Amino acid sequence: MIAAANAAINAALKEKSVIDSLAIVGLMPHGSTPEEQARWQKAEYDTWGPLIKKIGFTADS
Amino acid sequence: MTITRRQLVQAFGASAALGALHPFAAHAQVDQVKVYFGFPAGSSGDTVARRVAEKWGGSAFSKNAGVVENKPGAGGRIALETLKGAPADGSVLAVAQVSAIANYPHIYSKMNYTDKDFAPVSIAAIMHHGLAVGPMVPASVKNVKDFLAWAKANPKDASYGSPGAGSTPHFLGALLGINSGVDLRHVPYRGSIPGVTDVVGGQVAAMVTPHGDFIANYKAGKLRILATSGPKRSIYVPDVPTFA
Repeated sequence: MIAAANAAINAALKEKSVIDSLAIVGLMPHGSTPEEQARWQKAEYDTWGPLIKKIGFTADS
Repeated sequence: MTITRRQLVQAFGASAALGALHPFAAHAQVDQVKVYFGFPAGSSGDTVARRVAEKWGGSAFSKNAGVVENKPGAGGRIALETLKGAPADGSVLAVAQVSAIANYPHIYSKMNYTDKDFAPVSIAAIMHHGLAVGPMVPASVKNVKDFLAWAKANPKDASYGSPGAGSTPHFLGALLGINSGVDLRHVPYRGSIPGVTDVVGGQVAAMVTPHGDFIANYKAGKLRILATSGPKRSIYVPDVPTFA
């Protein structure tokens, strides 16, 4: 099921009408595998944690 | 508190991503997929959810086109909390900013979901954030440096909106203030669009949000984008410099 959802999303992101709609709102289509998304999430988690803590950033900042 | 130039550039150089998340696996082709999105309709993130979901009809994933349901609030967390409770039969997923999974655990002391509650499906788009100002800020302010000088001289008016408390744009605004030693007051909005409306209307000086949410008003001359995040200029507004 994840594979079918992934394929449907990535196919849509290659369609010209989708690419053109995203350009209007400044978004670059960028598909991936589920594993790439998981790695991206992990990398962001590891990158921002220390800086968020260092400046003491909270939702009330 | 000091942060290094490298850290600031790194922060603004980051490309945020929108990804799809799914409750754990399931069965066969579904009839129709519901897609939760955690901000009001009309933003760039909402656009990617809608334009992609409407293409799913007749795929191995879904008989019919998917439908987007906006679940705004709490910086996108309400949509993910709703997804967590949704049936894991493939009929529901969410499009969310990666920061809602990756950054929020560092920011909110109480979270009602973790990354373990969802399965990643696919990254969908890369977004660059931008800083824009409206008519509250004089035309002589042409760049980020000018804006910070103006903000320092006009502390009563020196505020910026973001799409939500604790969001990445809020974080970027806080970093900008800390790094420059200028007190920038944060005004949380319920998504990009209400904040952009207030910038254009002169109720708030500035806004940090995905820069695509500025483009229509930028092209109409109703606000000025001073900078965008990312290592390179945005191909959509190439005349605007980066923060670096």
